[in-house]
Amino acid sequence: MKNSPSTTERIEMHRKMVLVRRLEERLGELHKTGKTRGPIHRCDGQEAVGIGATAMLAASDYVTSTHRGHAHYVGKGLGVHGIAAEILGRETGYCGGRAGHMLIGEKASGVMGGNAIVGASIPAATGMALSIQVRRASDVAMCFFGDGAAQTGICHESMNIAALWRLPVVFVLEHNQFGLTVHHSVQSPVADLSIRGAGYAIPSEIVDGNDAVAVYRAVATAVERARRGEGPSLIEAKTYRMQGFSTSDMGGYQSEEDLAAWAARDPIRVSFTSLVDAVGKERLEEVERAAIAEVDEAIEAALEAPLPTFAVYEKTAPYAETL
Amino acid sequence: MAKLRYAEALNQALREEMQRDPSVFLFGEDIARYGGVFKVTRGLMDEFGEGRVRDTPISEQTLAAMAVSAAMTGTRPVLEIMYADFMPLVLDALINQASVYEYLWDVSMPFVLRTQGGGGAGAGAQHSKSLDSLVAHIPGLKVVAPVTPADAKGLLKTAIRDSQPVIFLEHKLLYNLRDDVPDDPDFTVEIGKARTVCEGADISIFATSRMVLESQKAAELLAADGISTEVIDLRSLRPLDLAAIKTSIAKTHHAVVVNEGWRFCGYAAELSATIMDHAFDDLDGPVARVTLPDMPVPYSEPLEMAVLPNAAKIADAARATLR
Amino acid sequence: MTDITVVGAGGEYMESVVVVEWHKRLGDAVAAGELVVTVETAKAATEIEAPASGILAEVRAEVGKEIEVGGVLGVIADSAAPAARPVEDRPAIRPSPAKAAEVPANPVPARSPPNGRVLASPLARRVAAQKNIDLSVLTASSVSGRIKLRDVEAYEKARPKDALRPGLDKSAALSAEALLHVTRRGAANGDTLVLLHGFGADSLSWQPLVAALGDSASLVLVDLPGHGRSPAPHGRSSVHSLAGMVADALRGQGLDDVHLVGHSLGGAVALALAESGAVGVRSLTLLAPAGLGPEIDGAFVQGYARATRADSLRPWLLKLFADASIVTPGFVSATLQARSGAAMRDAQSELADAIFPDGTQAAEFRGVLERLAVPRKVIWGEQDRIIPKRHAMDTGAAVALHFLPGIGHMPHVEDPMTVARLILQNVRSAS
Repeated sequence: MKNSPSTTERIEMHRKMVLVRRLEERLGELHKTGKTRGPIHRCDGQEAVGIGATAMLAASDYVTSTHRGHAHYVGKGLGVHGIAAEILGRETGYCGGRAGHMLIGEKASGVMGGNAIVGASIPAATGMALSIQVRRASDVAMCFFGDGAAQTGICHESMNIAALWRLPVVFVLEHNQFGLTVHHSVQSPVADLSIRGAGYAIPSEIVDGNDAVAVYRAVATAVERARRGEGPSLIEAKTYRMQGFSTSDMGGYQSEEDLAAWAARDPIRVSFTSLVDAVGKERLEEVERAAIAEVDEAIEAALEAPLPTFAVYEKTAPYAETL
Repeated sequence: MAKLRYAEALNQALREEMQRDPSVFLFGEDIARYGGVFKVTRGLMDEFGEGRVRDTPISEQTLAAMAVSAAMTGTRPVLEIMYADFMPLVLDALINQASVYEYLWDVSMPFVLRTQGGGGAGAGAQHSKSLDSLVAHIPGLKVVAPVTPADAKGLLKTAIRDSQPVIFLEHKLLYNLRDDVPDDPDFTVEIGKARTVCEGADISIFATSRMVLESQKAAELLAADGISTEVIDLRSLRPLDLAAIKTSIAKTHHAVVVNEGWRFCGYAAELSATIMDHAFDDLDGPVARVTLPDMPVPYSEPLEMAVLPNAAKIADAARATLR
Repeated sequence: MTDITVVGAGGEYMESVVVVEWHKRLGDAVAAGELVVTVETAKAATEIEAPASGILAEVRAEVGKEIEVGGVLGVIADSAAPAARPVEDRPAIRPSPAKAAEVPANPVPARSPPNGRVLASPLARRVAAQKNIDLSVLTASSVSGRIKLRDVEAYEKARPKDALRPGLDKSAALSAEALLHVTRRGAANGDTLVLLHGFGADSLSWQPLVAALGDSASLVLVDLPGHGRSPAPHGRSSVHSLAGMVADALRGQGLDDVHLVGHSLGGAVALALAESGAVGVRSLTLLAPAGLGPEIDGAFVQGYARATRADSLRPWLLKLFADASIVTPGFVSATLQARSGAAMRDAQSELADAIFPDGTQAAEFRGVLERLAVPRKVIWGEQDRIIPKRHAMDTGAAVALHFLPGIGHMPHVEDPMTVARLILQNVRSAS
């Protein structure tokens, strides 16, 4: 099938999903023992969206993310050592401990980056796409955003401009059913947000967000369109948020039935089932073990790494002379 | 050297910089086909094409965010925001995005946001403000406000070449000011350097934007009373030329600050605090502020003229602090 | 201070009046309500009564002078206050007719808020401290009541330069044109320290301290009258006249704004000098100073002054130091040699008699030390047998006291490193 991932790519996606899942679980444990700082937004159950959508991107393509971006970071090529160290506030983190888990970015890998302002990833990617167009490059800018962000004004403004100017941007709407504690049905009168694409003449598609391969296919098509100069696309990936809005979530607003139903469709299990015949159980389990070990090692290293020392940032000083 | 209107000087600066650097592009409302509501971008679309001079939809929030991310990814956007009164719409892009990325991700964002403000044209409460203190407050941004056509050209060229974001504050009543402007395409004015308009021994007046012209008139009024006034055009609101301020106060020991913002928490308040921090022991009287009163700018002529700072008010403030 | 003004004197529509006659003269006592001056307008002659009791201190509008309504005719001073002259108007600011009290010509006495603090601008405060001018003697010309630089400058200008200045007198003086001998040591630039030695010593006695201070300051060593290479004074000396001669010598060197270091008698001279304001004083370090109490070992003073031989000098030298081993035969003979002859011994004996009559310290500067605004340190050896160390006590909360254990009356000789360090701390805190 056109734009389908190879088996190697699928194994790699599987490995990365396990990596992300293990990271989320370890962070959850660390949070309970008081070793983390500030709220952490886990993406358990949504890994296929981030990993599947980034798998076909090049290093020179750009990704903008949300406050729930660990799968996006890993998918685009950030290493789990640097991510873990940053989340634990260490000097060895991607941003020297200055950013924290919601704001990780690294220009070299095109991750610019996590964003704690809901919806900000959308105009950010649109602007990057504008830059690509002005420079006449063939790169693509991809933004991830949730069903909650789809209501922001900047989402609509960005889609309008992106379509008007045929900007090379891919809008990946990670529909996990909840905006903070409120179900999507209380935030918008339409269940399928991709319908809005038509309002901006943007081709859109709904995919199963728990199937990495399905995500890959839909997004790869959109990426190719963008590279050809045909403008933006909107991919609505249906998924479910399994672990609450953040580590400070008190819970109680997600029903047990829903959780059970979606757990049965866990993206890692879906991926395993679809690969096991071709690749073999042992090989897959080996890949999973290695991924888990990598995360555990990264956490160890992070916990032992030094904390940064403070220095006033002189580049933003308000006076022209240094005293 | 040629006698140009302020708006023409800006036009020249944009043209020269766009010729010099293909990554410079312009976008904003009504700037391309119409040449801008103040005609600053006249003729540029014809010369550089629709790809580099773009009319936009009315989407300030997204446009500003796009300027930030386009600048992060290889281009030098110059965004025109039609009225400074619309700055609140762009504040998220400036405060939560532009202000943090250099520090968090070590990326530079060389964009210029041009806008114009100020009262005296009967434009009413939502089209007559300065709001310079809102942007000068933000670390990571540079803020300039040229008064003369030569400074307009020189500072805009410098702003476009700067690797940090620059907020370029024009004034609606300055666009038709005509004065000498150097022809040299490499003529630039350094950001962070104030301009001494006239030297004096008894009192220093520090002013921003059009208030510099009112301060010059005030100096003439004061001269009739035998008071020798030094008028300093700050030009650069951030970074501030601290050396010029200290030198002037060491000489005159008295200061008036004139700014077209509101009094409480306005830019003049910062000047006053800066003077206290750095020149306290040279002060022979309290720093006087001449600003807008803390209220909206009214429409009817006598009402509007009553709120704006003018030469008489500045001279009164000077005499009072000298008393 | 109260102004005699013309408000209301001319009637509603009058702009100016002419002075016809003064009924009191400068210096006359005036009672509130008493007729003091008559002025004339186009309409009528008007008699003006004194607004307050006191002394007519100033006449601003002479007979025949036309003055505008709202202007000041003269000034009545409180009887008790010194005749301080009000500030002359800054020539730059003329009161404009339209706004009556724009720059009031009537000076306002320094406004004192309930906690006793005088209001002054930061600049005025700084300059006044440097010139040892007490803010409370200044008059604020500003309507704000705040003392400004111009008020400090006006006071300085008006201050009489000689005679009545506290702290200096001419009871004794050098011959015309003669100045005290001054030696310069240490750094060429930077903070200037003036070192004033004690009775019977000379600038050479500072040598260990000079070595310890090295290049950290510019040093000015002054030989007191009748000591070292300075000429003897004529007339009966006092601490104040010694201070006057030191002031002349410093001015002769073009010096102002100095840090004073005084030992023993030199300490009293330093206090008198600081009090006078003849030169700007930025800090004061006193080593076992005279001037803080009546006690002094009079026998030592006279015995030391009169000693003609090693045998008669040595016992007094031993009394100066806690550590007897300093007083070697070489030290004794060197000291003797420096006291060159009968003329010097006579001059010093006479000086001792005038300044320490009957073995008592005649001059007292305890209040001066307490009131000075600059940083002050007093350094005393615990084992001083010449002037009791307890003179250092009760000089107020702001004077730093340093008692050096195992040290006698010459801390700068017995522990120059410590003394140097303390002096430099004091100097630095003045910046």
